[in-house]
Amino acid sequence: MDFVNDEKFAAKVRNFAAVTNEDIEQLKELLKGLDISTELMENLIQPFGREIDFTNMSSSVDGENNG
Amino acid sequence: MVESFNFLPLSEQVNLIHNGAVSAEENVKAHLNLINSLNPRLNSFITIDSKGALEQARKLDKLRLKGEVLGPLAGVILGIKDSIPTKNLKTTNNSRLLEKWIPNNDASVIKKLRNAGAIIIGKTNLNEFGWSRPSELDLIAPPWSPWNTDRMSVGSSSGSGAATAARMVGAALGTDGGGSARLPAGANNLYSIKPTHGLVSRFGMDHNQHSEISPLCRTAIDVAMMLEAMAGYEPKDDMSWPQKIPKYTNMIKTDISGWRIGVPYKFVNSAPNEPEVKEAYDKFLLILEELGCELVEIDLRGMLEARTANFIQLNSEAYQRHQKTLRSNWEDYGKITRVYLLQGAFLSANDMLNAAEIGRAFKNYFSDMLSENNLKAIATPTSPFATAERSRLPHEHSRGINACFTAPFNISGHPSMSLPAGFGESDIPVGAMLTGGLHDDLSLLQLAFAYDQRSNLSNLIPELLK
Repeated sequence: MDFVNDEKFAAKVRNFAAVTNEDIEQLKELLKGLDISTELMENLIQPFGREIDFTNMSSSVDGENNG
Repeated sequence: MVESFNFLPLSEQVNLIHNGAVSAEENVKAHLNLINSLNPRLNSFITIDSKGALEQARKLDKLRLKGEVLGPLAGVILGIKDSIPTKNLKTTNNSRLLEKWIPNNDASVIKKLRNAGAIIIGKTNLNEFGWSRPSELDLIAPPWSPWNTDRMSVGSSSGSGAATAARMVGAALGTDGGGSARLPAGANNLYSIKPTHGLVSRFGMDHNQHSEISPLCRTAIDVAMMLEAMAGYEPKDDMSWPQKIPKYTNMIKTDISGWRIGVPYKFVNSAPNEPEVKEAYDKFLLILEELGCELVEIDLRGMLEARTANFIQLNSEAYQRHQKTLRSNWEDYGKITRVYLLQGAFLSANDMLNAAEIGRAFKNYFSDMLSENNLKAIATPTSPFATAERSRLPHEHSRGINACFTAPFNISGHPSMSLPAGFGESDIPVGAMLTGGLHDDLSLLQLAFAYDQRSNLSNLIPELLK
């Protein structure tokens, strides 16, 4: 999510609901986390014919792969 | 406080009612007395239906006097999470939006429980819409733990956990979309199963795809009795599983020696487990060993990825259901809830499909891992945190750390059960969890029953009640 242009972002959010400035600041923080999550999902998706292989995925709560 | 049949497990209360030693009306009155005494302090209930419960009880007592066969849960007193619709009984979701909503119909699971003879005494407190974090500004303020009334009961089925532990009900229903029934069960010294996806129908209620209806009970046999009454095919529900339900209660007692239990030490040790959690988990594993189980170290992968996929689906589905009312009634939502719900507006259909595909892959991986290692279940803590407050720190909540052991098995659909494991800081209970094969809920109940007989933790009563 691009938060560089705050006014543009606020206008977009206000299309969804009558948010306050405080709501927008809280939402920004949550969306930063959501962006990391969606990027992780995208990176796991494989091209045609290949399975998602869980045997090589992270081994820790924080997502690190310790072999 | 005088010890009465409130303090008996649900299974023993049913026997007393079946043989006429206690009437259903006496049982309701005993529970109402305790509710009137404790609920002002614990805030477990949003609605208490004294009149309706007494009417249900008197009908049951008349049937028994006529010599009619009573249902398997005859006279059992239940609290129902206030997100599950109950006919002619207010269902608020702890939201100002639904403050006055009285459903015209019972959800499918409620019909089944009523048919089994259960009596619904009230609707239990929850995080607003089962979402976000509890707040003193909610329609009804959050429940307190009966084990330590300075601590909040963990959510989102927080009222169900507190009411059951405080003996205000024989058992309660919660819902579990990422751990929302297993976590409060762990934090209240209770047993709760998130059943295999499709075993208990969610027809007649708003729900997320991977959110399941779970009983919260004081003993393992109580869970089996509840699940037996709740499970079953619902033709109108396209996610309901058309399978024959085992007689859990008849089959629960079995020799579990030689059963192989997977222990993912590396993954468990990577969590920010509080010392009491680690200690309780070690004791839990020791009891399983004493019962003859073989503990097998396993390399568990992809829990972060599966947890992330589950929360993407939860966020997206929650926004989908609230999109119109967020636009029209923004001010009627809690300040925390509304922002959490709005996140889903920024997820695409592609994000949702990616999450679903990763969820399916994890489901297959976990099923294969169980069968390749010939495991009945894996054992983990229920939550890394023994303290209710810590599990609600905004930073850690947004990362879903408190659900690091629970949420992956929502998107995978595997049955997963929280069991009492000990006590942590300030007398807050700590849970441990068993997760097993799809449609093998029975093995979890059998393990839990054997563990319950050995550990005796279910006999403990909060100081508040002594």
